[in-house]
Amino acid sequence: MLQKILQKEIYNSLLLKHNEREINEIRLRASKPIVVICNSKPYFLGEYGVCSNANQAIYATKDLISNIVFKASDYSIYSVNEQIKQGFLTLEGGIRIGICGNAVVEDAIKTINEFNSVCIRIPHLIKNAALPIFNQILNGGNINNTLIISPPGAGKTTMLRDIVYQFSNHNYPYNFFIADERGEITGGNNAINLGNFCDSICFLNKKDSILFGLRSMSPDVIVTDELGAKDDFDALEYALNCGVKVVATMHASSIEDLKTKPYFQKFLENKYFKRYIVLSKENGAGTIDGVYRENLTRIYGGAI
Amino acid sequence: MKIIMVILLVALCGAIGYGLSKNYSDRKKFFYCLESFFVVFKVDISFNKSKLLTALNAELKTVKNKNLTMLLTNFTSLLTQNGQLNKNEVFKGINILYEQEKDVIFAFLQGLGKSDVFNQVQTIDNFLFKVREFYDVSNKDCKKYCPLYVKLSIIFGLLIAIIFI
Repeated sequence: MLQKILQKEIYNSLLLKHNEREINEIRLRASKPIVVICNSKPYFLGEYGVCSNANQAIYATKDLISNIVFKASDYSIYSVNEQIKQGFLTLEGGIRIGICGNAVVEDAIKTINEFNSVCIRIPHLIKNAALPIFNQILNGGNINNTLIISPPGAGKTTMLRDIVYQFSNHNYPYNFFIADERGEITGGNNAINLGNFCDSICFLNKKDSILFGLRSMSPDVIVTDELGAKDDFDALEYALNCGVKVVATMHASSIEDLKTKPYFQKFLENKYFKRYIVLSKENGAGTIDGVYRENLTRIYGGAI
Repeated sequence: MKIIMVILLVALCGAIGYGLSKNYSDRKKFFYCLESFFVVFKVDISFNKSKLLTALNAELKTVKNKNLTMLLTNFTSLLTQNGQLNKNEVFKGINILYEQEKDVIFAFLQGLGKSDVFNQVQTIDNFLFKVREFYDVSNKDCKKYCPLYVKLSIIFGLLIAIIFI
């Protein structure tokens, strides 16, 4: 997929010293050196591969960035304008491209044009990432409502994917409904295999997705990513009151930080979530810092 | 024997006349097919928001016009190769168009896929308006010159037959 959207010279330079599996992120900014995150470390991208010297780096141009967005849209900006309006594009395999440029506003955002920077995030399916905490989510045949929290880039979505996959892998036939607002969890069009018992809706806001799923797919578990808006929590609360379990993620650096989040107080008071999984980047993305109960007491902790 | 030769000569001249007028009929057919193609394409992208290449390739299978097929095949292969369009490469193998027509078609193809649905549909509508104008002109030319060429060549054939046979 990267080969399809990047210019041939840039793609070849990228792979001179690393393979695609080691690349986490590529940032292109107009008139600035290209930055690549490999194995969680930042480098510049030069003609002869990644380097530490900005003077040897390849500089991105506006044309290059526009071409990347155009190719990423399959030469069809009109078909992905709803995503572009939200500042991102999701490609097959869950690659997410964050987009910056000039917003065109008429009452609401019409589109973004004059793209001047992109951030290409490349997910890597890490099988068995969720095994250390799987028994915390599974509660004697039932599922604990679980919230995974971490700062950005610490592996929440990767962990979420593996949780869904492990249930199928262990032959638990729970019906999972994935409200995949950005197409990151399933990779859009179910490009990522999450097992035999998953249904998903992509590129629809969480509130409508969850209501859609409840009405039409009889889910046992609703899975969603990056809770934040009031509507997200209202929809989840409705789902929980319907007897459906929830596994979700949220940005927060720690349990203390979680307590300060707006709209989440009700969930804390009513103890809707039975398990909190805290991730960090201490030993690389996906490090499990701690597992907590509904009353925020630690079950176990320390980096795993 | 002489009658057969006269018939053959007139038929040959008629065929030459038809060949000379083919350019006009090809142009008329090309613009007709071009308009039909993008009318369907417009519906496809406005309702289904189909990807450009998916929609083009699906509808390309139904196109019977050789020049249109060549144009769209050149366009899609240039797009997928490096994303850059070159006017000469887009119109490679197509000899029936005038420069002004090529400019209009090329400008349209360059903008294809680069805006939101509303503006894309408007761009297609504007393009179709120009294509209709080209069709009207080519249709008039065809009605004027096609029978003229055929008639002149048949008359020429008859004259040759009279003089030499």
